[in-house]
Amino acid sequence: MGFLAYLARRAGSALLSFFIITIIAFILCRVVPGDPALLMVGSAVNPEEWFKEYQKMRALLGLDRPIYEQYLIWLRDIFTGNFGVSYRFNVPVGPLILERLPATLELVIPTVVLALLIGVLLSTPKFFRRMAWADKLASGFSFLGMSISYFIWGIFFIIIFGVSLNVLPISGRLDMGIELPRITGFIIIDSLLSGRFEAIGSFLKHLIMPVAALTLYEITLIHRINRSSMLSVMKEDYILMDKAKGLSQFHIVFVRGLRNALIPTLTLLGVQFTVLLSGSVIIEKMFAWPGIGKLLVSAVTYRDLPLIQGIIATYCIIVIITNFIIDSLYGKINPRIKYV
Amino acid sequence: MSLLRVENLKTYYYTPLGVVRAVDGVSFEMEKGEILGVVGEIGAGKTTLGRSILRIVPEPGKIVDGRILFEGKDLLKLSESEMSRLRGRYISIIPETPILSLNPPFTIESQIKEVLKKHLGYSDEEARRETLHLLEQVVIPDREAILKSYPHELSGGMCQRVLIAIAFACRPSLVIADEPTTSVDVITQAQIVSLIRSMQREYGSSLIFITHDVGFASKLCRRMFIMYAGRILEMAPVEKLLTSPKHPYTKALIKVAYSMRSTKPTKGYLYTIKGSPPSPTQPPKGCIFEPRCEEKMEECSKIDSIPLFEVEKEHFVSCLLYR
Repeated sequence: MGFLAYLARRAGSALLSFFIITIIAFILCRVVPGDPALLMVGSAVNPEEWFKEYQKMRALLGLDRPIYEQYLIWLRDIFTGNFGVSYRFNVPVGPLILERLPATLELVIPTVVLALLIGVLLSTPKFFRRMAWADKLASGFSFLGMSISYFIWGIFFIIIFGVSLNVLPISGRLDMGIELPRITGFIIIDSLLSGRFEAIGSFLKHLIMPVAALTLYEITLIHRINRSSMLSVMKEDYILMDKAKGLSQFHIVFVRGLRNALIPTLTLLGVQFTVLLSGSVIIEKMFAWPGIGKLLVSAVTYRDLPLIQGIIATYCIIVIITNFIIDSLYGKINPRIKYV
Repeated sequence: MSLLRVENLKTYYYTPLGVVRAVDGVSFEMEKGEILGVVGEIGAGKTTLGRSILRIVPEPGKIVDGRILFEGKDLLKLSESEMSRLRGRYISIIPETPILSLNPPFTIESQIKEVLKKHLGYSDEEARRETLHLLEQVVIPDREAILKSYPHELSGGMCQRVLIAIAFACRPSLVIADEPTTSVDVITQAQIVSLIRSMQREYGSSLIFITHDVGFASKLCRRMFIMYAGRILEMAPVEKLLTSPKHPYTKALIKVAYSMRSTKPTKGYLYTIKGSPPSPTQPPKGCIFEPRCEEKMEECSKIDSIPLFEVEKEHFVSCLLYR
């Protein structure tokens, strides 16, 4: 009962924030300079004819209606699932985003998982007497990772591994010549389903550089926050007591300490997941990765308003889902946190 | 052979403000089955002494010198993994802060069971049965429900009972009770002390009872020693210490305790010891108590260190008056 009521309350507030975000996204799109109709009409010899064409285009796009009406039409489109029709591609926005979303998630999910594992691991040597050197090394690395932005890493990797050494592919998700039927859009799942296992190797090779470029920075974030929260947890009386009970230092650090220290790290992870979703734009562009980021860049360039709005709404939905998952994990990790 | 023999133990904290000599040359001995009281003010080094015996002194503390002979073995020479097999099995501790000493995200059941599984090799089923038995021993009602609960759902007194159960779970030879009554109310205090006493009898463990309360120590122990600024000032059987204290500090301490306990109205007058304990990083030269001492002599501040003089059988004092 308690959990269901909590769930209902969460759903209510999620819906409310979704509406607010759509309104803001919608207004922003109308306020930014640049008239999509203007971009689409092109030029004509006769100004009068041109103006007639322009008016016709505005009516076609629905831009001549009052702004609240436009919003309501868009809202209707959201609930029918097609999120409006893209000006540029002339197809419903919903399916267009869904087609690109898997590629972005293929970048972001491994990044988050790797950053969590490596970042947490790097924050532990501090607590083993003979590993002081590893802690110093990790802190040095963390400093380096923090001061260099991920797109610098990207360029750096492309020059070294892509061009000089020529060992890793620098663009796309698959080698030329590998055809894969699209079932879910996730390459690993699709290749398993269709039995084309050679695609997995090719995909992983393409994945290394963009994921590495994104991960390095995330690792340093996780390392820093987890190390400092471990530092305070390891001073707690219960850790001393665990030691007095005869538990090994390994068990104390990785089970007793970490479980307490993980809450702030998890919060950061949730935030970073959503930051990465939109932050991978540059990396997607750099590695010609066919994800949402690339789509968003072109949508903005062409003032493809329904597409921009659709992508923002998609991000919004993902943020809401992520927050819900992270909040549920809190309760699993720490029984003192209850759903109310 | 005595159960525990501590020789010239020194545990220092290397803080940015200087070296704190929390335990500075402590030596004592105790027999199997004995209850030994350790009495002193806050900051006297009692807790650090207890933690030193288990070798769990937190950073930046370090045991710099001395020997801790437990059943003949020098604990300071054991490897970390040998030591961790001994902790909780042969020597255990009851902490000062029960509410903070149970790890929050783990159930009570798992925190008791793990010592039984680790040290005695119990199966899950055996460990569960023994855990229920232990909870019965420490007088916890509604045991099945308590097992499933988390530390924050229990009161301080309940947490302390659970910690007592953990401390005695493997029938250790020595239990160090580190001010186990400080953070619970008076009625619970009495219950906790008598519980520790009965567990100690039942399980045949020796007990080091650390407290700042001379009264509590005298009700429980046969012998006790007084600590001040990291050193032992006086050690004696309880009756002797209470009836004929020798060291000026002990005398003052007992006077303070009596003046607090007395039911005679004193119009707000309470006996106090003048001055405050010495700076931990810059202790006075000579006798550590000299600046506050009412019977001090000229040479007290000149001598390097004062050994424990045996004034009577089993009665030791670290004071030049008894040279």
